[in-house]
Amino acid sequence: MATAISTNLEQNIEAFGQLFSDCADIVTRRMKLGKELKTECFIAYVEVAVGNMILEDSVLGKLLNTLWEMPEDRILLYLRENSFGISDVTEYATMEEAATGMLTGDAVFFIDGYDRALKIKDKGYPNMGVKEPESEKAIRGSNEGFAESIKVNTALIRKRLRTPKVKVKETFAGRRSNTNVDLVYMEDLIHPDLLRTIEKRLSEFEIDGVLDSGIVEQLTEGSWFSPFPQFQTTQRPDRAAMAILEGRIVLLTDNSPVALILPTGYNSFIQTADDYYSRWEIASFTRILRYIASFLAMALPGLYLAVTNFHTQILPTDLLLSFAAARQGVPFPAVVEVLIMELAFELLREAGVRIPGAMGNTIGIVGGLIIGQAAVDANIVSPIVVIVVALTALCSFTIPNEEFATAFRILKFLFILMCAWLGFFGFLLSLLAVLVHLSHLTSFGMPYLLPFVGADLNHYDDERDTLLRMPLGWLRRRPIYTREGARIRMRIKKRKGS
Amino acid sequence: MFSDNQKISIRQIRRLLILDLFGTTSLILPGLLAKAAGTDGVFSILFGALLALLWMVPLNGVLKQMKGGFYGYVRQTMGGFVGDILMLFYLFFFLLMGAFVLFQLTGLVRAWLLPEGSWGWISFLILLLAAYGTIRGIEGRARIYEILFWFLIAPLLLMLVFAMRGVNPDYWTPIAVTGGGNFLWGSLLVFAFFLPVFLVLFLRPHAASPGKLIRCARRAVLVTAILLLAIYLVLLGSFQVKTTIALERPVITLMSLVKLPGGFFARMDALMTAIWFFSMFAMMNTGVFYSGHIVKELFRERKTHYGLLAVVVAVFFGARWFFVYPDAEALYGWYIQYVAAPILVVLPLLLWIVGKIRRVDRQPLPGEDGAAIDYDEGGEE
Repeated sequence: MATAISTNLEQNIEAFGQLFSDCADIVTRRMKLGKELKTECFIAYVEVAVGNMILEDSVLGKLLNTLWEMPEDRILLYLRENSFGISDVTEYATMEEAATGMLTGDAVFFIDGYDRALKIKDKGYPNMGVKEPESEKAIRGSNEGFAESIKVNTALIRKRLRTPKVKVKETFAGRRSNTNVDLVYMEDLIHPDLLRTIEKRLSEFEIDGVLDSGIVEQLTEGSWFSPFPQFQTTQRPDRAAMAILEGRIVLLTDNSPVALILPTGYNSFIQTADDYYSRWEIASFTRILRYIASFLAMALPGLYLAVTNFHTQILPTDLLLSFAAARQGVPFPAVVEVLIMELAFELLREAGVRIPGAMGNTIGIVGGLIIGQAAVDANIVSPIVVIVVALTALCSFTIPNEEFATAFRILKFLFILMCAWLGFFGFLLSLLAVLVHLSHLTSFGMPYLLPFVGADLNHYDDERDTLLRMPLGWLRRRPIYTREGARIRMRIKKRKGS
Repeated sequence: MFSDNQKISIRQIRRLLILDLFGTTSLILPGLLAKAAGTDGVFSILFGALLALLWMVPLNGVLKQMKGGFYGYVRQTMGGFVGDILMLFYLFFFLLMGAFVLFQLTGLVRAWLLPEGSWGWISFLILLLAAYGTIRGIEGRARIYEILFWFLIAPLLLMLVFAMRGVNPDYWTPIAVTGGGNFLWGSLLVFAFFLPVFLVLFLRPHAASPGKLIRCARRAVLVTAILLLAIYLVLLGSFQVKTTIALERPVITLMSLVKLPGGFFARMDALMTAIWFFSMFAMMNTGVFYSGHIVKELFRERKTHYGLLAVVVAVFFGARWFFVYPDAEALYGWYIQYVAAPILVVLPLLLWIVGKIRRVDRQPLPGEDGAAIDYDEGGEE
């Protein structure tokens, strides 16, 4: 049961002390305010999270400086009416709320004779600040990436969408971590059902701590067994803003620089922010490349096995002979060869991620060039397999979203095994299985393969932004993610003289 | 938001029907047609398609009388007992169709992709995938077909264009030399292969716009007829009548011999088999799906999938029957010619007439959605 804040400061100090006993990082301080220093007060905050209280440049400093110079009889009245005009003040009626408020990284302030605690905004917890996103690099467009503080992240979105229709719904997840989870959306564009669904799913689990958006993602997605992510992730505020303009919801989690976008689908994962900043020809070209890459990242090693082991007649004789010559001296069957190289590559990738800084790049070069060449010279693998694996890796790096690319990386092994077993038939079965799975998969009710399926639901307009990104002037309607009746996003006014 | 209401769009239905009509038809019909009508097979295709379009009159009549699902309609029109018997006929038809197509598909795989592959494993894996494709209902299935449609049509059109380079128009002649009986037999064959268009009756409760169903079915027949015509002309122009008759699956042989510019691919057998693999898979999936659907209706199964499981087992053993007994294929041909096809043709006509007499369209259907439908066939799809 919640403990109400008392007008008696001593009681409040005792209750607060009980809540935070043995918490060395919580700083508590008693002070006397007013011109004659007769009004007692108590301030508590998390060490490091709150700056110097005396300094004029902090809200807390300004407040205390004012209260020190104020007559005692006016202090309570001023506080009640918030006559300081401080915007970053939140009032709490219970001790638990005040404690939670303080743990968000701000200071809480109790004053004798006043039955409310005030949370006063300060610099908050230390975090990495705004930096360039490490993934999702764009040739053109903003280089800002999400930070680890949720407040900074909502501000980065707000900076791009300056309308009161952008709503930020705050919830908390994690029984012990009390992590802020914000749902950011455009009020008049989203399907109300979508908001209800995500709110319901967020309320359906109870967990100790939510330390990253990945935990929220896994606990709220519909098909846990699918290798394909059902949330789109982004570290780019401009990508998030773009999603909000499409009637989608952005889910921000405190302490995570990765935002989740819902709903999503295959096509959304292939799109990048600079697709819309560049001219349509190059945007379309690179997008087709990415689609082909997503297919090859999954299928190429399997296809190689199917062709070389089962259906050699597909290839011209010269090419076939050169393949055979390249394999001479290799003691393993082709499937073992491919698996060795693929696993070696996955090891290199994992090592490259874990090893700090520039050494990661070195591992890539050492692994890719030296070990690869050595493996070929030692007749462990044939040069053609090195080419196939390298090309597959290149394709998987071309997919703009890491989580989405991971799905293809995993499925690649299914294709390898099926093709090694059943040849081209295994390839067809695997391809069909992936297709059937994708056809069944939905992200918050939206078919994953939209708009390749169900395009008629939005009058085929979404097809203009799939394999080809049509000229921007043609993309006048928002995608199907937007609620009906709000899908016009652009009107072209007649130019003078045209 | 996008609702999971088991409703599908008219475009999805059209693609479902085209794939269902085209799959086995394109593979088996050209050889049979060449045998029956030779060079006049071209006219048989046109006349057979015309017969199919005429047959849509009773189909449209039935669609207009229907308020909910086909099962409910049949029971309401013919009475509970007769209705169940008729649905058992459809169940048997779909089961056999699924088994036959699985048998054909397994044969296709063994002939072109995996000559030493185990019959059991190949059938089992295909069937497993078909069951997975079926389990999420009509919406998931329609999405699969929407994607498969392009896997089939795009390479097919491309290959047809390249194959045309080897066509000798002299092989299309002489025309009008086949006797009337042969021409009629050829037309009936074509019509029989178009019979799966009756699936619109089963699709009625799933259609987002039921009023446009019949137009959609007509388009499916026309598109399939045009594709068949193109394939038949290319086959005749490339192989002449005799070789077309002699080849087991002439269309795959033709496509495998097409030379693509650039010369990277020496032979296209495996790639071309892929096209028909997808197409026939779609057809088999239809058999499994509707068998499962009817079993569910007959046994009032709601949430479980035991009916589907039973169907999968039945289709597997049905296909095995075709595989083990050499006469099974001929027996199936006899069943289709003398039992299934006549009943399939007559049944909608009978239902339509009985429905008219009993004024079924004015009766409410107990337990089913009886919302009135605007059968205006105009407007945009």
